[in-house]
Amino acid sequence: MPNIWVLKPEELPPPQSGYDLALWCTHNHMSATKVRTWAGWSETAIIARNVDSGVMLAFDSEPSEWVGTELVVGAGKVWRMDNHYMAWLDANALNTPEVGRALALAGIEVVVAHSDFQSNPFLDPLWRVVQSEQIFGLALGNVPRLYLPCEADPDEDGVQELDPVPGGFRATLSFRDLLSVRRLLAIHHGLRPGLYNSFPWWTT
Amino acid sequence: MTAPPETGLNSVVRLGLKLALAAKLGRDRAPLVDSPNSISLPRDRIKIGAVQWKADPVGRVGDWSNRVTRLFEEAADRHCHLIVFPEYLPLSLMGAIMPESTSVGSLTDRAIQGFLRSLAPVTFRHWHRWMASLSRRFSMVTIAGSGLTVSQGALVNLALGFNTDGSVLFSQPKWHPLPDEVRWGIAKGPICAPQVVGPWGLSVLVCNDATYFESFRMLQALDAKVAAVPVADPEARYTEGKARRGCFSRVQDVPMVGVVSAATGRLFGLRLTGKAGIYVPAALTPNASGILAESMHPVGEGLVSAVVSLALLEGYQKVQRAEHPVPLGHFVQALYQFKEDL
Repeated sequence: MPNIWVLKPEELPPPQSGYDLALWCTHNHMSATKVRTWAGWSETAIIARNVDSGVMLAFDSEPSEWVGTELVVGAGKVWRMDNHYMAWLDANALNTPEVGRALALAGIEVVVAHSDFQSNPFLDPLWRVVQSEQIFGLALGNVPRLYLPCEADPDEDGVQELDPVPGGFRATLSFRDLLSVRRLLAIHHGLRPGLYNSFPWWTT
Repeated sequence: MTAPPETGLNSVVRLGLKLALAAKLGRDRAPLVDSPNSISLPRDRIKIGAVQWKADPVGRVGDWSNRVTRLFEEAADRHCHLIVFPEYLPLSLMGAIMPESTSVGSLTDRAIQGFLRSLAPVTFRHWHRWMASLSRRFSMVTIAGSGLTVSQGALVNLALGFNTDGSVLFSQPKWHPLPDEVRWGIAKGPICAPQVVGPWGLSVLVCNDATYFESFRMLQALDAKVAAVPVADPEARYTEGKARRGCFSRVQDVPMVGVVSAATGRLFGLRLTGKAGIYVPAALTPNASGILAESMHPVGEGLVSAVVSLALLEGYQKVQRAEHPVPLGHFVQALYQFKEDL
């Protein structure tokens, strides 16, 4: 069960371990973005994203590890953590349901995105992707949230607040829960490619 | 009459039950209605009624038709042009010969299949006659919900739409049945063209079909504006999250008016919850909620209604199509190059 920390903008995390991945939304321009490493950080991947340019940077003690695992599908980036694939999507990609479907069918289990839907998560396109694809979603905003399939959430709403930690918030993902949910109702197994190909909505 | 035993149910027993059910339903005849005056339906601002139905089995057949008639009357009082009923509306009629305590949990899948194949088509025909008659009597375009019938040897969940003169507007099978339905012998709807009719761009998707954005994309390609979604969700616990992930979410991604009619209550051991609702893209509602009307409670019976402007929706659809175009053909086509699970 990997721990993901969502760090507050402009706050550097404490020099301690305990997370497998740290997400840091920076509001600075790319050139001004500072990503520091020190003891405790050096073993940990850091994702920094510039909200203006949408560019995402991945740092790791062994940067070469990212080469070849990074795919580009639609808009956004895909990377790997502990043999689980994650994707960063922008609003445009989130509002195109085919992108979420393609990523999930390709094996993506977590989508990370900026969220402007703090007051009503059910209107968040990321929440819709999570429910449609039975994956996790990390909604980054003033108050970051974890979206998960309703069946994996004790409240059955598919929305969980993250635990506060010094400098940010922590999400703990149980990928086994996704497997259980998919056993209960396998949305992807219900797809009807024969039907869709007979009445395509796309240009052929 | 007691519940039929789980095992040993043979065709003779089923035939007996079928005849008994047909006899009881035959005594509750749909009223003959004179030809209604031709009415002119609006093309833009239409009033829609969505039914929340208490699906518990009815002991008396007349109770079912009285309640359906009352819902039509209420829709007429509210000047609705379109009324939408839920999935499996006719199945409550099986209560005429089966006790309310009969539970799918106490029957084998094979026994349930046998019951459904022999009895459900009888209720389907009764429902068809009544809904055609009431559509004509109230001069209302009607999405009658859905029922089970046998077509080309397969048991299918079929939605019906009726015109104001009682003629069948279209029929639409459920394409994506739930795992329980598959276990009970309900086949995936055959590959057939999505039905989108009239100036309203009216269409219907049955329950779980609304889980799949692909269903709405197919309708969108045919210029659909209104998607009626009859549902019967076997969810013992209603939550807003579970309710929002179907039709409500789909019309945010693929802009349309989504009309949900929900079956609720206890139907042969299944606990059903759900709210009737009329949903549009959030930007088209004054409070940005995406909800034009919705039932107060997830169980019970009633009608919710709202006026929608199809011209406004059409304008929004154009903007959305420009801002979020359907991805390129080769990208989408590559998505669906795998074999379907049988």
